[in-house]
Amino acid sequence: MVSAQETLLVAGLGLPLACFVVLALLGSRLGKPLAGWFAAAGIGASTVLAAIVLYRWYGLGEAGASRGRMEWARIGGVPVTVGIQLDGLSVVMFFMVTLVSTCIFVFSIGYMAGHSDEVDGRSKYARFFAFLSLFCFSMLGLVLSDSLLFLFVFWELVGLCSYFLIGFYFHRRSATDAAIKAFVVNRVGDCGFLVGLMMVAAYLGDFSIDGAAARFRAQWPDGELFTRSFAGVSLATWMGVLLFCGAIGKSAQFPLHVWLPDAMEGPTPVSALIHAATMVAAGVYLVARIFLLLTPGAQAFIAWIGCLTLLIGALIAIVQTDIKRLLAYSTISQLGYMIFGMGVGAWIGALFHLLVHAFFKALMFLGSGQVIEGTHHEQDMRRMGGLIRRMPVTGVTFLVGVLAIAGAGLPGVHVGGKRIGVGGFFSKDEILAVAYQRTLAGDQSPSGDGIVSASEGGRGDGRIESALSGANGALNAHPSVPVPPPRRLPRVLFLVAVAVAYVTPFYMMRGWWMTFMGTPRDEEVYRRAHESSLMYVPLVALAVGTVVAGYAVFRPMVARAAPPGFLVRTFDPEGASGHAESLAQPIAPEVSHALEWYLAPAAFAGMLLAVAIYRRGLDRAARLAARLRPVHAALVNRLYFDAVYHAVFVRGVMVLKSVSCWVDTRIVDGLVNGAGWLVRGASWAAGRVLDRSGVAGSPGAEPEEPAGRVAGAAVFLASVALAAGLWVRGAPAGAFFVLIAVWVLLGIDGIVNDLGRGAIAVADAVRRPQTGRIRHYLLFAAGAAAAGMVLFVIV
Amino acid sequence: MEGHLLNWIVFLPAIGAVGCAAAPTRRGIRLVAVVTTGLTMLLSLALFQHFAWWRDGAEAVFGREYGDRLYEVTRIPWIRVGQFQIEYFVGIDGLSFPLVILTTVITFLACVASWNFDEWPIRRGMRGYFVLFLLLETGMLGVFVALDFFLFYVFWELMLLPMYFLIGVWGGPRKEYAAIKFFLYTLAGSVLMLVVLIAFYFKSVAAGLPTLSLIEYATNPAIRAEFARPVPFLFGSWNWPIVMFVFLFIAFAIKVPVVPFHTWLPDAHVEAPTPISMILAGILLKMGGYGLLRISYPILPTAARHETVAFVLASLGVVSILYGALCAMAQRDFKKLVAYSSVSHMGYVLLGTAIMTDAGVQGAMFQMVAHGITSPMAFFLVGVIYDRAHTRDLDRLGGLWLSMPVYGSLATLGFFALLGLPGLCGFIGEVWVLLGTFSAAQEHAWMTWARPMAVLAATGVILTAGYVLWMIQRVYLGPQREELRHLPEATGREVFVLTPLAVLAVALGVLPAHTLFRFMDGTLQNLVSHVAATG
Repeated sequence: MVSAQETLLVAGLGLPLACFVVLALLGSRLGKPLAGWFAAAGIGASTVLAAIVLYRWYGLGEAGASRGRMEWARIGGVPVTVGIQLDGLSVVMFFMVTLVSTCIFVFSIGYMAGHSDEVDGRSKYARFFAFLSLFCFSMLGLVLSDSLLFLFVFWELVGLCSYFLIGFYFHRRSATDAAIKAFVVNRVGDCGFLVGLMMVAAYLGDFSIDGAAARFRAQWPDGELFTRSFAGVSLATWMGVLLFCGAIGKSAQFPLHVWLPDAMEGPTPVSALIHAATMVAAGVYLVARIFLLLTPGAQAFIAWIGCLTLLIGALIAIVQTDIKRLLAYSTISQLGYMIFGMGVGAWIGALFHLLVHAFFKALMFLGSGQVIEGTHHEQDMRRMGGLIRRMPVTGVTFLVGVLAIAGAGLPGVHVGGKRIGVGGFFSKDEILAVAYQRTLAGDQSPSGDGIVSASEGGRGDGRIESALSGANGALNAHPSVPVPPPRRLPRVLFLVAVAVAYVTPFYMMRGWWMTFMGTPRDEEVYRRAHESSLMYVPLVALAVGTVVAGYAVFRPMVARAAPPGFLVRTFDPEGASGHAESLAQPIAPEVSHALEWYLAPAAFAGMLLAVAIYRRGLDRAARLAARLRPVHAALVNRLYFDAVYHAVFVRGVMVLKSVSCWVDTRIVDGLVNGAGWLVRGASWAAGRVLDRSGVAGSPGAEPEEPAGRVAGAAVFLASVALAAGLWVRGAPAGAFFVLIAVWVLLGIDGIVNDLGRGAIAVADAVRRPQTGRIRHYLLFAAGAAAAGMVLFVIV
Repeated sequence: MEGHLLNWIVFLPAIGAVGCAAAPTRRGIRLVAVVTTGLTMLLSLALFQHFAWWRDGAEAVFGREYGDRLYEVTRIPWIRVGQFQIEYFVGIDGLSFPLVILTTVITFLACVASWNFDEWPIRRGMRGYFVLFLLLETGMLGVFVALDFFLFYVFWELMLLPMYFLIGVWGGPRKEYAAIKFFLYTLAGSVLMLVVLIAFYFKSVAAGLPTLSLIEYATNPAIRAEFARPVPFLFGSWNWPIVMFVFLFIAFAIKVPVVPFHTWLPDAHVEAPTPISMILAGILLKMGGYGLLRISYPILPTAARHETVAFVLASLGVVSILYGALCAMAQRDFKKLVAYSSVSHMGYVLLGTAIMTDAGVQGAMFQMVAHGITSPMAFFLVGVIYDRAHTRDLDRLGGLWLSMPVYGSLATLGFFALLGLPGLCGFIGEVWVLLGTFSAAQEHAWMTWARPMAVLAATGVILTAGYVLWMIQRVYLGPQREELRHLPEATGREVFVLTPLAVLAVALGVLPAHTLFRFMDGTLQNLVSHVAATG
């Protein structure tokens, strides 16, 4: 049976799709503002439905709903079902996606009101909202999919929408290049994802997320996944790593992060929705979903990737001058934090950060969109400055975003039992706290409230827990099985993550200050700047959401999405303990504040440094850059990733394709044409030499050529001799084939002549040659050959 | 008509050809042709009645074993000369049924696409064109329904000749070269097939059951035993089934086409008129894959399961996928790019067939049908541009989505289906084949190479994305070019041809089981288990 929630979610999923279909077919009839409002109404209705589901889920505490599943197809013997993953995580994600989308749709109506919807002078207004709607459908489908295959399907579809929307201004070469880059780079990751799916099909035989996890668990420790290895790494780890490859592409992780900054070619609302809040976070969502398929080895890999990404993103962000690219690199860095959090086992922290980040990053992107639209498409922060006087709402809300990403808060201060801080103050802290325990404190037992036995504490509606319980009845039967501590990760991971927490506030405050404070550096830009009311309503909504919702709403929700006691268990087959599970997140239900005394100062120190440098314009920064020229140059060139990739991969494929084409036309086709020429030449020669009537086109009787006749006779005799030899040696078929082959090569007519000559009289040396039509002989001989061949075959 | 539905379907186009020959006006000729192909399509839809498996259960529809459930069978002696027992033996099962439907649908659409014959560069001989066109349809349908090897061969040759003339007379500048190349290539394969045919026949004579029935070859125990008996061949060391298998494979590989037997394809496509390209890519290429599944695998399972044979076939499949994609990327001619993409996509068919698992064969068949939808669509899309801009040079096109928005949207859909985007038909076949290949090692322990091959083939999705997107960028995106700014939007007729293909591409991609798998899975499973049991 399909539960009420599922019905509501399916309706919420269907609305954007319906909007897409209507807009795709009738969009141009609806006209300019109407098409946008239509789409916004669709997603708005979805948001309402999502809110109802959320309320029922969390407000009423309804227990796990029944699943309506339908078989979609079978891949060989593996069934693929389609169903809804109904649990806390999907419900919260669904709500977040619809809510942020609604804000951005409304913002887009304002953004597109001017000439921003024009592609090469033609309005593509409906197309924009059609693709936005299709994106919402795909993203919501991704969140709701309960099978990895469907997750992959929607995964590709969001990529498609991203492609179309990055390339929205498709008359610009840079936009289409960026769109292709995004799609192809994502495909590289998806290729790994696909291989991971192959492993899931082959070794687990079940694509449903819960089913796969159960079978994965059942494989341990004797299953093929754990006993076999490739390149020294167990197949189980490979599977996790390969599935994670999808996340590397989509969440712009090192080494596939290069597409995201270029993706800023799209309209700014698209950047806010797809390339900051939702789609790029899908990778984190994927890791959260497949968490139970990750071995410690795979987790360590994920942690390393995340750590490198958060470092690279933050470093490059320092030198960005384009406001959108600055935000893009900061997104990469923040996604790195989330992936890093997943890798170290901070399941809750990473998802918490995902939700909070969706709000504050969408807020900042929309703010930048307001700036860009208000200044008539100026994106260079070096030409801005002082804009807060022209756009106060934008400036202030943007500052809220900056404080949130910086993780600003007041450590140690409680007001009514609550702590004071914004966004990252809580979520980043949580990730880092877990990282601390997994790296520096890894070998010691985590603090008392962390270790809980497997099924202790709390309600039985933990969805991940239920996924495990089926396959692991033994554990449930013995609730007091001690859970061993996780393996320790290298401490450099933690140190880098903390260090970058000092860099983040710096580059964000730098961007804000360059844009909104100081003196205007370009009078023209300053004069044009203005705010549009339709656009700042969503800004205020998101700002309020960032401040209030983060801690008060999302943290408890995510916590409820996880199993009771935050026990997200995972496999540790390689661990010394020999237990099937290790504790992934030994954190108590309350938010950790272990590191708040380190992080809050970091936020303020970073921001103050930025203000100190940029307070009086860009001169001081320029002097600093000159002093650190090699470093600065490397950062400005994005650490040369793009250049190297272009030189190696793009050029490599270009060379490969040229070589293939050359081989095809010169060698493969050359052989074919060569064979054709050979046959023509041979038949010409045979006609010349053996058929004295001459080839077609020279009908006149040619003089006798005794030499040719002698040659023909000699070859004939030689082939007969060879055939006789083979016959004697017991290979009659071989003999036959030699005769046929030699004669065919020499020319059929000659053979016939020779045969005829032998039959009549050898002495008659001056006999006129037979003049037959070569075609008749050819047919006759081919028929005879085929018949003879078959006779020999069956003998 | 009762009981002769299939015969009507096959020969209605031939009757229509007579009608075309007799039609009084130029418009009449076209009308007869379109009506004939349309009627054939409608008649073929009636075949669905036999595959209502949800009513009777899958086993009742598809049978327990390969070959024990055939529908619309007509089996009458045809030629009897001495010992020869040539029959007119036709029928359909889950293997041929989807391809019959595909043939009638694509031929109808191609016929509609031929409607603007009067605007073609070569306008003479319209009567001849449509007569040959309809004869071609009979030949193609005959190949898919024939169950007597001789009849199969006759239809195979019957389809060759009209195709030769259709390319050679109404083609582009190098049409003679292309037509002869196509003809000689296929003929070379046919000769090998003829040898196999005669060999099969004498084997059945030796077994005491002279027949040319493809079903009996596969299922009759006496004939099977005779086929399995080794035969001294050539220098005495070769294995008879393998030699036969290789001969047949070359014949079919030329049609598929498999690298390195593919070079006729780009030439034939580039020179052929648009509707003929649609048929060539949509249907003719499927005959190779169909031949493998109908003749090579069930009749010669021991050869098919030979480790080296399977390895070579699978490798050729992977090479076709990657090499075809790379060659496609290098093309400047739009039509040639699509032609090479066919080589790449048909590589999945060979790969899926070679591993002979349920998933692999399902994927191969699905890929054939999916490619039978996307590639005619792609060729038609190219034709639409060529009719207007008179160029296919990718570097001289651009911005067409702006000047022709409806056409641009349909084109984007078509090419994303070609790319294998999930939700569209190109995805399903690829994924089934890839997953099937990877899992094949689980079923057959000796297929140790299956996993690396699956991974290698999976990298093809990156290359495919590369060349398709690059092409879209060069043709449809970018600023409008001055000389292309005023190209007229797609006409009603063009939209009429493209819409069914687009709908099919979406329907097959979203509901593969309900639209296709259900109508063939039973037969395919029987086929796979037949090969497994006897190989």
